[in-house]
Amino acid sequence: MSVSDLVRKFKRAATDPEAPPVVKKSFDWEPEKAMPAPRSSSSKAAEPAPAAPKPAAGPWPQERPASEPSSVIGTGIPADVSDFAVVYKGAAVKPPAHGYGVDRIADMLAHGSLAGLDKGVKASAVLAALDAAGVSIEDVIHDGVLRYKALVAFEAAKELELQQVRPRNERRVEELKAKVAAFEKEKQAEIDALNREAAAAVSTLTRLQTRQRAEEERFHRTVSLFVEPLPGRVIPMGSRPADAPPAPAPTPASPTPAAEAKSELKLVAPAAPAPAAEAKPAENTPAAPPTSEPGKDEAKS
Amino acid sequence: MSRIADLVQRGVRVTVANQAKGEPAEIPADFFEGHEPRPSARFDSPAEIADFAAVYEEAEIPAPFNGYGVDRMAEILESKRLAALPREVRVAAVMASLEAAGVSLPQVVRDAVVRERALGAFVAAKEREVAAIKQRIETRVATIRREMEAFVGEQNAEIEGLTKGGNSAGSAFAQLQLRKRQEQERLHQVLSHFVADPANPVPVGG
Repeated sequence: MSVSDLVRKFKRAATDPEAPPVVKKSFDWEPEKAMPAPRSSSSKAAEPAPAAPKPAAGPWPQERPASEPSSVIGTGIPADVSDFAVVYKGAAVKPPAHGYGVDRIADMLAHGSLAGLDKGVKASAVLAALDAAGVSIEDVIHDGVLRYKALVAFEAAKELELQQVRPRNERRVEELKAKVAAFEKEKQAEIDALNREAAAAVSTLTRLQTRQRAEEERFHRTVSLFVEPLPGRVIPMGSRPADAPPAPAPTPASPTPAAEAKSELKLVAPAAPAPAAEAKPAENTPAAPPTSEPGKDEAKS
Repeated sequence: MSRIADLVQRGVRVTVANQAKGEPAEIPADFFEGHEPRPSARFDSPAEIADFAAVYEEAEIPAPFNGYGVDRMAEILESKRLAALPREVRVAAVMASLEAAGVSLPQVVRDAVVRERALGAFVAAKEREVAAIKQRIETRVATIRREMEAFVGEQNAEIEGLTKGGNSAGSAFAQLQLRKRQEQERLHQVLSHFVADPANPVPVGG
């Protein structure tokens, strides 16, 4: 037996004129135990159990003002909401009272018994089931439309939020940057003033030290006209080198300062090819000629 | 060591011949000791003081005997009348004025020593003041820099948070758009079983 036959049987059973009038019960298309596991992203969880079927409403779309999605969708619901059921609930989208909403129909279409069948066959089967349950397909379509509208509204609300958040954040960032720049400017000015203060103090000290040296120099210049340090600078009074008897040639081992001075004179003189008569008195004559003077000796050498 | 202190550290010998009678030819080093300026950690006189006289006064340097100290002697030597004359003449003139004032040469030299010490103490005090100022400023600058670092860090953290928040909001919205298209597609698919495509109230997702 094909599915079409099955559907026809269902329809006949549901509309048999000879059958005694019975109150329509909700059609248990998919008993709980036979139903597949509910989809995580659907709003099926929010749907109540199928209730008594409602007479079919007028053709879709009909005005159903009570079922319009809320205009404040998205308020308080994050954009990354895990389940759109929350969005539908927030938009006050309720499944039809008979329980046959778009989610339930989706589950019916995906049921294993209809797997692999043609799309039209599946639709016919579902329509037959709905018919049997006294449910109008318009109700299902209306439920789908409401959910779609709720989704669109939610997306629009989130887009609006984003559009508001971005400039607000950018304004705040600019404010913070300006605040940082002003703070840095103020503090840098304080640092600059402190550095100027330090530089001025150092400069003043340098000028003072210069003036101190000048004052000390002035004191020294004045006092040194009248006094001199005791040791070192006191030149011992002695005979002038020209008056002293000629000293013997100094030995390199023990030169004395005075001998060094004289040896310089004597060592330089023989370097030039001077006459022997002139060189001999300088070295060997004990008494220098009375007219000879150190300056002149130097000039000769 | 300063110049006068250097000069007198081992005593001095008077190099002028025309001293008053009874004046010593040599002045020992200990003659200049024991005349330290007032021990003071600080001077009220400012570093840029125009005249050091105030410094000497603050250091409680005694006034030179009969007003004849090293300053007066320097003034005489630098006077226009003597400036052009030979050294010996200037020295003789000063010695004559010293004798007339009843002031001895050692007293004048000691006056120079004491003033130089006072000036040295003053400059040392000012050096300490400047060092303290520099230290205070360095500390303050370091504090300011720390304040700046903390403030800027705090503000930058907020800026970063805002930027990150904006980015994550954009990312979350992009994810929402994707998921919304999928859901829309699902609704469209379900309804497409019953409504032909042009009349399907839920358009194709995407």
